[in-house]
Amino acid sequence: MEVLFVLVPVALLLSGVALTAFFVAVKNGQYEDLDADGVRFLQDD
Amino acid sequence: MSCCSTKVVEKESGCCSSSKASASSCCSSGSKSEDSSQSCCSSPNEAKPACCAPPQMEASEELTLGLEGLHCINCVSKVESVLSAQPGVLTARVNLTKRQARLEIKEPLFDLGKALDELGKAGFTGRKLSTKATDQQEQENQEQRALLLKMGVAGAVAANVMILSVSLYVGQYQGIEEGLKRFFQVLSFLLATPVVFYCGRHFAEPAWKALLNRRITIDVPITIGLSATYVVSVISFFRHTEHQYFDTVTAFVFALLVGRYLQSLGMSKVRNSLDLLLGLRPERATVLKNGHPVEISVEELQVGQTVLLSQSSGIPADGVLLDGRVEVDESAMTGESLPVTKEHNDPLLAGTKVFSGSGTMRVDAVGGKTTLSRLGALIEETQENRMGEGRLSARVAAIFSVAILVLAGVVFLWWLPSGLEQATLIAVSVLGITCPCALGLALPLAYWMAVRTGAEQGVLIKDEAALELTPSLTDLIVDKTGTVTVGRPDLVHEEFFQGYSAETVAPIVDMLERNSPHPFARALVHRFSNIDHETWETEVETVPGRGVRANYNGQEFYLGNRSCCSTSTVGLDIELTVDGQRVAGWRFDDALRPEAPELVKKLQQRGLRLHMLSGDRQDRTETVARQLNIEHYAGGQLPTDKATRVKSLQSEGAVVGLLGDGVNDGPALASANVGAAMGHAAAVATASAPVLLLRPGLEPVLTWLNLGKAYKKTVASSLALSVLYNSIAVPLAAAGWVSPLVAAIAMPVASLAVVINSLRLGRRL
Repeated sequence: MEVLFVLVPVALLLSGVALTAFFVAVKNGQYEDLDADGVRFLQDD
Repeated sequence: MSCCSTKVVEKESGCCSSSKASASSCCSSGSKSEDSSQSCCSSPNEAKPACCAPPQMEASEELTLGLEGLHCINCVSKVESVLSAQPGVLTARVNLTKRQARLEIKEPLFDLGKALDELGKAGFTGRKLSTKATDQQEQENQEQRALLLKMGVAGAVAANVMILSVSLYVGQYQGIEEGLKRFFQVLSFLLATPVVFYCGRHFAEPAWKALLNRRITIDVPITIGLSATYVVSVISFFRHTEHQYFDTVTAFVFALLVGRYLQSLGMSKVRNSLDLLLGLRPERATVLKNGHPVEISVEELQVGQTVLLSQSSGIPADGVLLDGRVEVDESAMTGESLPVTKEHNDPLLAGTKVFSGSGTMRVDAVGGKTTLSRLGALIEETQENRMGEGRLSARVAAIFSVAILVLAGVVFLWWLPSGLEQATLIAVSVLGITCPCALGLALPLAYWMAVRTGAEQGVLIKDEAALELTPSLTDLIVDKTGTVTVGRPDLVHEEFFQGYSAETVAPIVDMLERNSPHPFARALVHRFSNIDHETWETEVETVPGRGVRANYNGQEFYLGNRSCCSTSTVGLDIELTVDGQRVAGWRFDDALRPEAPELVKKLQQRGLRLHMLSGDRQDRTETVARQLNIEHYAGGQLPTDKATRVKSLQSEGAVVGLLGDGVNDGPALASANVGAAMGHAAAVATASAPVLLLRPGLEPVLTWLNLGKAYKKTVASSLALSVLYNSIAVPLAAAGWVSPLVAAIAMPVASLAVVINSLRLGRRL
């Protein structure tokens, strides 16, 4: 079970990476329009 | 285009002093439509230095438009393409959630009025938001982002801590290595601490502020509960005991933040619609240009122009009356509920309404300089105070928090004989386990659900107290015109006398009514529009509140209501006389809305007493009331009569709801228990009415009443659930029997139960 002392912190680090990505996304305004942006790419210009 | 003309160069000579390099770069970034200018600017040489003076040297500006009529992604791309096609628009980006378009524009090229017109043609209504509204939204956006970040952090941590605690709980039964157990506890502690201090700040700061102001808000019990649970956990952590609730703390913070985030989304939706309403003035104005009436958008109105005023038209700008005699309803601006008669040189205010008569006015102030705009700024301020904590939750929160604190004190004293440490631990666990989730989560969520569901169906709710009162209404006062009827006069009867016929009457009607925006006049002009006739030109004189008069070819023509000159018994609304002889007459009727009878029945079935008070004539009001089976009705009502009726009903113990059109009904709306302003209510009505119905007719009324009922039900059941939970959990905690596992299961389950209950509100409609 000693491996958990390494693996659990690794797992936590990974979720830290995900959280950082989330921060970047929010700062870039990706959550400003929850209704249109999700389907905007389906639209032909 | 204009880029190359020397006139522009002269005007913008300052631009030319800039270096060639910057001028060329500026030109090449100009809009695509200027092919000729681009070709001449792309190779800047000394021979043509003048051509490079760019008309849009200023940096681009940002502009936010509020939009109505947006439904889906197709509308979004349509609006974007319409706006991008406008000259001077660099980028146009529509936000569907906020119903707004953000434009990057080059000022001198961009024509707002025209852009709004084009939008109108495409089926959307756009309005420029005031700078204040835009600033406010910018601030709100930032707050929302901060909230979203906190929510993300809390969510990520809560998930991880939950995994660790599940391992720990399982370990309690199956056995777990002592070292691993401690390791997990350390990790939980390390993860939960930043959540409490970073995310928990969202509740602690307002709570602290409220306490400083000697108020108790819902944030206070939340903060007390959170800190108590956290403190107990930290103490246990360092003392190596079992009472570590880091998982509960993080999960609770996460759930609360989700609630807050949804609530703020719902609130900004309401606020956006309010910003739209507050920007309300008449959209268009009829301006006299070279003696001809031209309809233009209010945005294009300029100081010094002459505006044609007619009955029931809104006054688009501040100014003075040039000629004519009008009665103006200024209740919106001055609070004076009776119409004021205005004559030559009397001041007129934007946002007020012509009650009767017609005339022309000179424009003295437009846009942000009008009294209306300044008033709008005032209303926005008061709104900020109003949108805050709802009344019910604030009230219950105050009682709840005091009760918990008293209880914890009693528990502490009770356990004091068995040791200070034991007493502290149990008292704090009481504080921790009492779940303010019903208050902190369920009520805001229920309110959010009600606001959102309402907004989707054209009902805006600005005030929780109004929603709360709605189910207890006993009487509902409605208007006739526009509420149960269509609100537009239809020609239903026509008669000719003295040998006149449609053909002979046509040129007379055209001459008299061509320039009049009065609804009767429009209907008449429309009636004769397909008959070929001569065009007669002459001076038309308006008799305020009566009709119009003109002399042509030695004959005197009068078209107006019959009270003036005849003793007709036919029930004609307006008559045409030639030299005092009646030659034609028409009757108009305002048709019932097709769905009105059924909806009136539904309202009556709810036990509501309906009263129909109308400014229209008694006989017509009576006819409509008979058709709809409405027992209480009165015609010929002045705005003040409605307020009096509200008061007299209230003195009999009734809880009165009033449906008003805003401008006329300002005082009545304010005196009713719950006032609902219909449709395009004027700016001030939005301030005095807590409910806004954005669609005409009775349908939104029913939605509003249903919402009130569903909200009350939801709140009641959430509170009942919470009482049930607390009455089981608190005694257990007070007895010192709550094990960490029980707490870990009971608290999230209780939160989840009330949240689900609130989210069901939409289904109760």
